[in-house]
Amino acid sequence: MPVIQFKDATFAYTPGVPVLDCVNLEVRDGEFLGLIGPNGGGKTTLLKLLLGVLKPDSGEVRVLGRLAHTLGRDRRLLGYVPQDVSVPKQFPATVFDVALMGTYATLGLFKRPGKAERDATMEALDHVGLKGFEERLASNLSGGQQQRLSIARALVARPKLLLLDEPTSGLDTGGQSQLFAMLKELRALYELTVVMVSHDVTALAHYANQLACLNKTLHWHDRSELISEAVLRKVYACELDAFFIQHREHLREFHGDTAPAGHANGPHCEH
Amino acid sequence: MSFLELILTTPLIRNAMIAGALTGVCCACLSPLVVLKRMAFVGDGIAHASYGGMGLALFLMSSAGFYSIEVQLATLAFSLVLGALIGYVTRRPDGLEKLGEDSVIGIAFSVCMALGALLIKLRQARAPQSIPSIDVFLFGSMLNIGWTDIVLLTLALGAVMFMLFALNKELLFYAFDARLAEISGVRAGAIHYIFIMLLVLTVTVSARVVGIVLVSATLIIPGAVGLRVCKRLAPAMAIAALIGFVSFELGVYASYALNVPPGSAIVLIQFAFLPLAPLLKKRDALG
Repeated sequence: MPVIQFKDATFAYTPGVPVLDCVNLEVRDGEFLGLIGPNGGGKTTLLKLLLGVLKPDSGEVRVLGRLAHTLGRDRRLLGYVPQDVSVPKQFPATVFDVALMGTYATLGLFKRPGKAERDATMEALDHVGLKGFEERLASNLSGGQQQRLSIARALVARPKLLLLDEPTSGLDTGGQSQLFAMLKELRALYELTVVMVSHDVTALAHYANQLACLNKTLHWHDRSELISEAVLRKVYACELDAFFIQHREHLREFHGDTAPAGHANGPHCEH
Repeated sequence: MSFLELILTTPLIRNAMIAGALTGVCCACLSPLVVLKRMAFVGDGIAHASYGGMGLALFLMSSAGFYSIEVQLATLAFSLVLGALIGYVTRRPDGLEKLGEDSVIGIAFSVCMALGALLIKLRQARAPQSIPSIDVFLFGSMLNIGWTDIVLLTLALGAVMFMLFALNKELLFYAFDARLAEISGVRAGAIHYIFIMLLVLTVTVSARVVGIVLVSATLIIPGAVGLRVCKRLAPAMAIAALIGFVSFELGVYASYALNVPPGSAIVLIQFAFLPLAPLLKKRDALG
């Protein structure tokens, strides 16, 4: 059973102007899907459909075999790291308190975190390299540390699926490499399926099993190497010439001189 | 006669002290969350809008007096309905297209006050019974506090304390990031409505006693001080409650000793705590 399954999923905020059109996608257990695409291409909308915050207008979105918008409290099986991970200035919670929030949905109303939840929190903080920071005010952490804290919070409930929305956007090159290396370890430790939205095609090509390009329609292939420059160019259209100048060399380095032809899984559903 | 003897022998002063303590603690306990959620204007809006409920109740129940329990309960019912609407708008700003939540609350605030003033005037024309001026609504009347006020305030404080204790972890996550809380599987929507309803209950019951101006101040200042002093929410609430209690008791005493309006004294005492906050903060390497 695929962990994620989109079947002809279409979504529009304004009727008649679809943001996502006939999206088909399957991600199997333990895989790492990199999702790229231009701004406004629907990446965040696709994540919202996965999280069950939005419901597709037609088609279906299944997570762990269930319709995503019916997950309810089982959303805890999805660890989510939002794009903006900054803790409000002087928010009255320590690093430990924030990471512990990830266990709240598993506890339900009126129950307080016990030893198991506290141990899981300490373990997650250790795994993301924040051991020793537990008693610090969360808002006093650096941007990179706050992001690792957000990942720890997403992991403490032992999710099956980790969704990250542009986690590399606020990081320098060193921070990005560290993040990808850490995710590789966490995937193995927590047996995670990962979906990451990012503009960092090079890094995703290295780490992801699948790469999908989204600009209203979705182009994807099971092997990230098979996404060609031609497909990327089609998806990003003319606005991203600069993007290609920046990444062409990386793609060549990765694919060899001639990039293989990509598989375009465009719209084919009937409305 | 000392002030203590006066409290023991004069029911009006005693009631003012008890109601002051209950109001101060009740509003102040919620104030750190009001400050964190940037809901100061929501609290203020609900407080002012409850005047519409009071006007409606007085108009519909022409034999009921300003201080009667029927009017108080009807005002509370009106405020709870309004609170549910405000809860909807503040949760889904897209619910009312092209109007921000501050505009919606501002409209509710002024329309309800206008409605209240109009209906009270019509009621006075129909049944010429003495109804206190709007000053009483704005600044309260601590010398007209009866047992019903104290019972209602005690119930409100009980509800606030119970919810803050029972839902402390959900309220913390809600204050941190309501959307993330919801995505994580916490019922942030229910928590949002519960919080707004607690706010409505507290504000409406307290405003009758101490006036809406004082309620608005007590929903902000003690919380702002508590959050500057503490690095966790529960101690910040405790500090805020203490400031609420002390300021109301001292304020009522100052009103007696210096012959000044109690509301003014209470707000100024609360305000005096703000510059003291950095001094109260424990200097530690971790904070």
